[in-house]
Amino acid sequence: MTEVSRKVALCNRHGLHARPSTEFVRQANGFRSIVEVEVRGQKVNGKSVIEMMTLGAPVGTELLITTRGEDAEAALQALVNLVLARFGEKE
Amino acid sequence: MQAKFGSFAKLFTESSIVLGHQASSKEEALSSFLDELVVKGVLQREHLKEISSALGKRESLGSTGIGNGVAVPHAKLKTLDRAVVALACLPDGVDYAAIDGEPVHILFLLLSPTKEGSTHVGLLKWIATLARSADFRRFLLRSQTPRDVLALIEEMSQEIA
Repeated sequence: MTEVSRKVALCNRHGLHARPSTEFVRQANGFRSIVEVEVRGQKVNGKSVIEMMTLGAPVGTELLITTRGEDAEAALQALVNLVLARFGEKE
Repeated sequence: MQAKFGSFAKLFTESSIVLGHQASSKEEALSSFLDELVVKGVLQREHLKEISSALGKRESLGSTGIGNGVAVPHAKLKTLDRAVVALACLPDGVDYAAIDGEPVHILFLLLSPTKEGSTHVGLLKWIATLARSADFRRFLLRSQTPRDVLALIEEMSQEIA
């Protein structure tokens, strides 16, 4: 069972509001691995929109993304790329 | 955060809580909710078109049905100088194309001024933290009066802070 983690900072202006949270969860649910996101000691299920929204993370916040399972590497890469691409937002 | 969650709870008034809301579609659920809020003086009729349009635009980007029977229709508006929050309970539920495919029973409406970014995320965090609690959802849907709901929101806000 593979487990991988990476830290990535939010770089979209409005941070982890509803739309990025939903997009993150949509992508996470495309993988079989467990996805966990941690911000300042608070750990949430990365496959639940409600839980992701409880992070309330503004721009610049560092997310620690951990994935665990057969496709952990692919899942982590996809989610990190999503954050770095500002969830498709212009700024 | 405790003080902030407490002050978010104070954004609700009895007028901004609608119980026993019925609708046969997502669009109807939102439009009749907004109409009700105009009647109760929470929103002004001359802003209704702009608010409806902004909410509709946001829904077209992706349903705000976030799972567990909860939806958070929201928009940022230039005409607002402070945030407006309101809550509707739909005992029979409505199909909202929510992310988990389940009907929505609880609508948390959030309208924020365009200029206040961090408050918007903070309010969504507060709403999500309440909504995550199965106890909150259960007690909310059993509430008989808006006053009961206000007391529940205040109590839960203190617990989750």
